[in-house]
Amino acid sequence: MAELTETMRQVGFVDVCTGIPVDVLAGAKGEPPARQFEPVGIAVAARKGASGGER
Amino acid sequence: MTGLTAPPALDARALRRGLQKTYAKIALFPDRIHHIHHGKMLAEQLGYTTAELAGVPEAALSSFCGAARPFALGAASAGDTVLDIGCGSGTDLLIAARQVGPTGRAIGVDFCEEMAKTAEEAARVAKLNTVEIRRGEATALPADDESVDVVIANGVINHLCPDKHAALAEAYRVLRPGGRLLLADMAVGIAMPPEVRAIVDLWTT
Repeated sequence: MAELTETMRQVGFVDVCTGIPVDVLAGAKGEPPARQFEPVGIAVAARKGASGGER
Repeated sequence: MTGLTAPPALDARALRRGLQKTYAKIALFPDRIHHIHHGKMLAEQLGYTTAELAGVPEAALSSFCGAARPFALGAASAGDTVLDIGCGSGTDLLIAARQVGPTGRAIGVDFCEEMAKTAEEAARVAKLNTVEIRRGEATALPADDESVDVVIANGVINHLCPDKHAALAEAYRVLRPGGRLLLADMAVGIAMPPEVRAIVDLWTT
């Protein structure tokens, strides 16, 4: 997720923050092969600067 | 899916077709077992509140696909215009429509016709006439520059978009200055090598 939040900043978003990870796979048919990559679900929030160009 | 741009070997058109087929099946046959976890139980597992889900018709909720709860870090305000990238069957979109109220707008964008129709029907059942569904792509949003107060997306940009920079740039373009981006997405703890990310079936099944 660090890669995504860094790209958000590069695009121009400010005040980037992340929430608490949740288990997104429990019970899914595709869980066994996916689990090896340690996936989690996570909320991410950011803001476009008030000037539209704030970095 | 990690990696912010599409690996060179990824067949983008095949990926698009595969994703449309996968999500169409979930929209048309939500009660069947699919590779992707979906439905009300998933929403509850991801932390959606009972109050949020109470306002979502069964047709939308049964086909819900998501990676987390985009409203965990904020919500839209009354009168806001919200755009949901990859709105799917409409669960997050309808929750946002209730947040913005009768003076706001909730615009959903999806490239899967079956999911878009499900969302339209769900909005009709919920009597939310501020909801509009547009057919389109995350990397070419059908919305004007600086026309939106809040952009939401759930399990779309990091998980399904090969070119995440392009998708984020589009979200930035449509947001008004000061507008907010509320994402929910999947992240992996162990990076997938490019040769693995280039396998279309890995993205679509």
